[in-house]
Order: sequence, then C-alpha cells, then structure tokens
Amino acid sequence: MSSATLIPATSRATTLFAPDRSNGAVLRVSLVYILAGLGSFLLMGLLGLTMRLDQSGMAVISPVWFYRIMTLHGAGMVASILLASYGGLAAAISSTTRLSARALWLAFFVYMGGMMFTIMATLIGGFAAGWTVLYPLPMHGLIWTADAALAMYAGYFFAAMGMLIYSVHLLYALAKAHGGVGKVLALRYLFSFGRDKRDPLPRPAELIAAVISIDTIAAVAAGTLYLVPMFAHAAGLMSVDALYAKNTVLLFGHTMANLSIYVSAALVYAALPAFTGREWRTTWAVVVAWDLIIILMLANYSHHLYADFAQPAELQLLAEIGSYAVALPSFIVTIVGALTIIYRSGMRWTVAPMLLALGIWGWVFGGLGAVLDATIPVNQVMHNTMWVPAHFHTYYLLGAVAFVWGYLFYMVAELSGRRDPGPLRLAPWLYGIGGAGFIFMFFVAGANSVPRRYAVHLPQWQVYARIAVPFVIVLSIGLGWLGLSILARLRQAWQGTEADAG
Amino acid sequence: MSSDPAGFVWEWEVATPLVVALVMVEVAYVIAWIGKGRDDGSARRSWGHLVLFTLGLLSVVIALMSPIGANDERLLSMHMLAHDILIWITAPLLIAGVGALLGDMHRLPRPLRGALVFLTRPMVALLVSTVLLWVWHIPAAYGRALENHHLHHLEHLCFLAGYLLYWWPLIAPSWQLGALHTDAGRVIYLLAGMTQSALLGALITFHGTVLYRGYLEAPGASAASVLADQRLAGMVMWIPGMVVFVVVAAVVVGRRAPEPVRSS
Repeated sequence: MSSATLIPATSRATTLFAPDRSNGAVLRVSLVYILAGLGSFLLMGLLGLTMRLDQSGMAVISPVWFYRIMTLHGAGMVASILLASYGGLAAAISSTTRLSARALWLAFFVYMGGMMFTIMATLIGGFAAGWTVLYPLPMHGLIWTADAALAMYAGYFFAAMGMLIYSVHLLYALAKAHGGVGKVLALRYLFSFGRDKRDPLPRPAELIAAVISIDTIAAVAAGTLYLVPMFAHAAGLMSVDALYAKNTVLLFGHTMANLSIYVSAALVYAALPAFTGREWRTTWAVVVAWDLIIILMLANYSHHLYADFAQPAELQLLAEIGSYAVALPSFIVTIVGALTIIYRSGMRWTVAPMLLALGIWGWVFGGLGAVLDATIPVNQVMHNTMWVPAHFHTYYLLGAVAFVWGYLFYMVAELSGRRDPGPLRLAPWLYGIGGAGFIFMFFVAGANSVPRRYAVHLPQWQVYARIAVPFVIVLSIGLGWLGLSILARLRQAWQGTEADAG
Repeated sequence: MSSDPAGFVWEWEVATPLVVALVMVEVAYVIAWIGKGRDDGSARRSWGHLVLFTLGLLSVVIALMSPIGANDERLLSMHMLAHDILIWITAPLLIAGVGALLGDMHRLPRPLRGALVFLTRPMVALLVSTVLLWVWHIPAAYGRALENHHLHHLEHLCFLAGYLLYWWPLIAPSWQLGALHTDAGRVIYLLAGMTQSALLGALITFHGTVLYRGYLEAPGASAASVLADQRLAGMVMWIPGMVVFVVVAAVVVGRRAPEPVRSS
C-alpha cells in the first residue's frame, strides 16, 4: 500500500474529512457537482411537468416541441443525476483516498460542455430523436438538420470525455492508495471466499467507486464505437449497420443510466453509518455483489433490443439473465445491509437518513419494475407502454435522486454545523408522497397499455396524467423546500470546506 | 478563391503595415523581456514567455494574412476561423507571454490602476467580450464591416481587445490585478465564456436563412452554398471553441502561479 497517497485513517468510521483535513478542495468541487446536478435535475423536472401537462390535455404544446423537450428531458436527467452522484461519490471516498481537485474540475468542465451542446442541439437545433439517439433516426430527421444530430453527438462525446477523466482519475487514485486495482476490488478476498485477509479491505464506497469507474470506462469505449462511425457516416466516409449502432449506443447510454443508480447507492454505504454509529463492513457478500456488477452491468443493456428480430437470440437471453443478476445481489446486499445497521441503532431520523431510506424504497420498487420489464414475455407486452417510464422514474426520482439529496443533507449539515430545522422533516414526506403518486399513475397507465413517447394522448388516456399532476405539485413543494433549506446553509457549508489542513 | 486545394494554400495576402506593426511589437517585447527579471519586482522572465508571445503574434499573421484571412470576404467560414484564431489563440497567448512581465499593476498610478481594476474585473471582462462578440455579429454591423476595410480592422481590434480582457482574469498571474483566485471561480468564468460564444455559434449554425447577405455577392455563390458555408461557420465557432476552452481549463484550473520576485 502506498502511504503517500492513502490518507491515514484514525478510525474506520465514516466522516467527510480526512484526519488531516486535506480534502477540503475535493469537498468543494464535490458540492459543485451535486448542486449543478440537482439544479439541472430540477430544471429538467420542469420540462417533464410540461410534457405531463400536455399529455393530460391541461396544456397544449406542439408535437415538434414535445419531442424536443422529451429528448432534452431524457438526456438531461441522465446527465444531471450522474453528475450529482459522481459528486457525492468523490466526496465519500476523499476522506481516505487522495483525489485531485484539479482532475475533478476538469472533468466537470468538459462534462458541462457536453450538456451545453445537448441543450443547444435540442432547443436551438430542434433535434428531437430521443435521448437514446437510435440510428438511423438522428441522421434522417425531417424536422432537424444533420448538424443538429452532430451537435447532439458532440454533446455526448464531451460528456463521455468528462466521465472518462473522472473515472480514470478515480481508478488511478484508488489503485495508488490500495496498491493496485485488484486490491481495491478485493479480488484475493473474493476468490478465497473471504478467507484471505492479507490485503486491507477497501471501504464499501471505495469498492463501488472502483467498480463504477471500470464500467464507466467500458461504457465510454462503447460510446466511442458508436460515435466515431456516426461522425464518419456524416462525413460520407462509411455507412453504418443499424443493429451495430443500436447495440453500441445502448451499451453506452443504458450503462450510463444504470451507473447513476449504482453510483448513488454508494452514498448510502458512505452516509448511513454516520447516523447509526455502526460501521458498514466490507463483507464477502458485499464484495461479490459489487464485483459482479462490473460484468453484469455491461450484459443487460440488450433487454432494450428484445423487439429487434435481427438481434442474436444468445444476446437476448444474456440480457434477461444479466438483468436479473445485476439487480438482485446488489439489491439484497445493500438493502439487507442498510436494514441491519439501522435496526435498533437508535438512529435519529433527521432529513438525511429519511431521504436515504426513501431512496432504498424507490430503488427496490423501481428495480422490481425493471426486472419485470426485462422478462421477455412481459417485455413484449409492456415495453412500449408507460410501464417503462414508470420503472425508471421510480428508481431515478425516488431512488438515485433521493440518495443524492440525502447525501447532500448529510454533507451540508456536517460542513455547516447547522442542524435541520424541525419542520423540514415534513419535506421528505412531501417528496415521497408526491413522487409515489406521480409514478404510480405511470404504472397504472402502463398496466392499461397507454403507449409511451406519444405527444398527443387520446381523451381516455388523459385521466392518468391528470391525476398525476397534483402529486407533481406536492413533489415540487417538497423538493423546493429541501432546496431552499440547502441554500440557506450553503455559504456556511462552503466555508466549512475551506478549513484545509489544520 | 482557388478551386484547387493546393492553390488555396498559397493564397497569402501580405499587409505590409500589419507586418511592420507586428515586428515593432515583437522588438519592443524582446527589449522589455531582456530587461526583466532583474530589479523591478515582477516575476522573472522565461523563454516560455518569449515563445508564447511570439506565437501569439504569428497567429495574427495566420488569421489575417494566410489563406484564412485572404478569403474571409468570400467565405463566412474562413472569416469565422480568422476570428476564432484572434480570440481563442492570439489573445490567450499574448497574455500568457506578457502577463508576468508587466510588473505588479497594483503599483500603477491611481487613474490608470482604477481603470484597469474596473476593466479586469471578471464580470466586466466577460460582459465586454460578450457584447463585442455579439454586436459585431449582428448582420447589419457585420455587413458594414465586410464593405468597409477600416470597419473590418476595427472589428478585429475589438475582438482582440475584448478577448485580451476576457482571458486576463484566467491567464494573468494570480498576483496580478483582476486574476481569479479560486478554481470554482475559474471554472464558472470559463463556462460562462464558453456558453455565450457557443450559443452564438449555435444560432448561426441552425439559422435557416442567410444571415450575412454580403456573401451572396461573392463570385460563384448561391443561396444554398452560402447557407451551407454559414452552417460550417457556426460549427467553426462552436466546436473548436469548446476544444480551446477545455485546453485552457486544463492549464489554469488548479494552477498556483509563482509569487512575484520582490526586490530587496
């Protein structure tokens, strides 16, 4: 182990600061990631509300604008939540792994540049082929130019480069701190079934960070395999096979979307022990569940291609098995682990643990919806219905985003030294109830075969969206309250990070 | 413009007054550079400063006298490329070359220092560079510049001056007036500068009709060819700009500039 890079830990308990408080700069950049991510999430939420109002018939927007908004909402949400989760993860491991604030700032800058391209490609260029940019639609749109498609691709390229800088840096720092990638993945411990404990085990957040970084690098490689032929195609240099394009872009985009959930799950491991006073140990079950994700997360994207008759049957089967396998071990380990350390811990239910618990709830229900959707006979009936937005809204809005909000509250309370105001504990309830009602109507609509991605809804479909709208208002009040509470303490939290080596 | 790419490379348009001016500036810089680093309290000179400043001046030659500048009245994309070079290459290189040699500007006489304090404030520098960039891209202003050489030179001077201001808070040594001191400040400032120029590039790229009608009068031009060139011009402003901003971000974020050498 390199003592030059592993910050000495006086205790294994989770704290934000390294013992020598040398990670203040990393905590600052982490806060910026989280705030930029959640701020952009709120803006993208407004776009979502606009679409839902349109589908309810309560407001009318043209189909041209509906699809632009839908494209930006999808791409923006994935990017925002991933950014916020990345910020939390960097903060979570910075107390024991020496990270470079410079590398994180650079990754942030490049990533934000990518988001800027995406916004301009959709809102100014009129690109409206959906965030999944499934070929050949982007290059052959009738209401947008090829330039708009290229700008969208450029946005994805820069976002991917930002992710790459972040992930390579994290993996490098973790490997340096622990003496190699194998050690941070606890491979010797894994393959000895927990008997060989010669290497110090990583903290769960560090293990997850390494897993996530490896998968991000793989996803970016897939994105490159998609984008390079697209640019070459636009330049007239080659033609592109549509099935190849679908596989590579989903391996990139679906993995990105999945990653944000798993990154945010690391925040539960990092923050919850601070409230329960119990350490979250790196057990063999934790190691096996998370190490498996390296491979399984790259195998499940293909469940979005069940309807493609040309896709080899082996890949379809792999997608189904991979979807079950990627979800269940990490679910079980995380949820059982969380419940175990909460149970009879005497934990005080402040806002942060409430949000973390809400996130676990959302992750479970969203994940179950996803597992159902990944089952081929179910998928053939449900895939083009509202069931699909139902499951991903559940694990995003009530899962990953709740985890990040929870972690942000933990950070801000610890850095500012100010407790949550008492009535604020109502806000997570508003968030949970509003979010659940909003999402439940997606599930009900899906179960009644209301199609997804339709700009104009038949009158008999509109009732689901109408019922959802009041829940969105409750959700907005909850999120707005949480946001204002953070803003009120942000200055002190920021100053709290400036107490560097002391 | 030559239809032969090989011929295009040789279409240089040497402007003698500009060459003379650039040589004089270089000579003045070299004299100042040789005299620096001894007893004036500023940072020491380095060969890097000299190289960067000289490259900055050479980039002016590339922007305005090479085939890029020689064809800027016939092709918007070439004109945009010339502007890109001035604002994204020339301006930062000149500041990188000269910033550390200027001495501590806090010691300047009060009226001059007051003006510089105001102009080098990040918000002011950002605003001035943005306004200059956008105003000159209003079709009427741009069209007049295409018709009148003096206005055309003024346009280029405005871009260069505006972006010398813009890059100053980022590239000038951290002990200089107006320099940004935190990484958060630098990144937000870079994002703001990048976004406004990218927005302008996007608006030009995606505009469905010809914005700068002067180009329709170029030999062999048609509405379709001018529109295609306009799209390319917007992209030229947008995408390489992003790359330049990323490079600058990689250089300036996290850096700790050397303290000025104080005389004893």
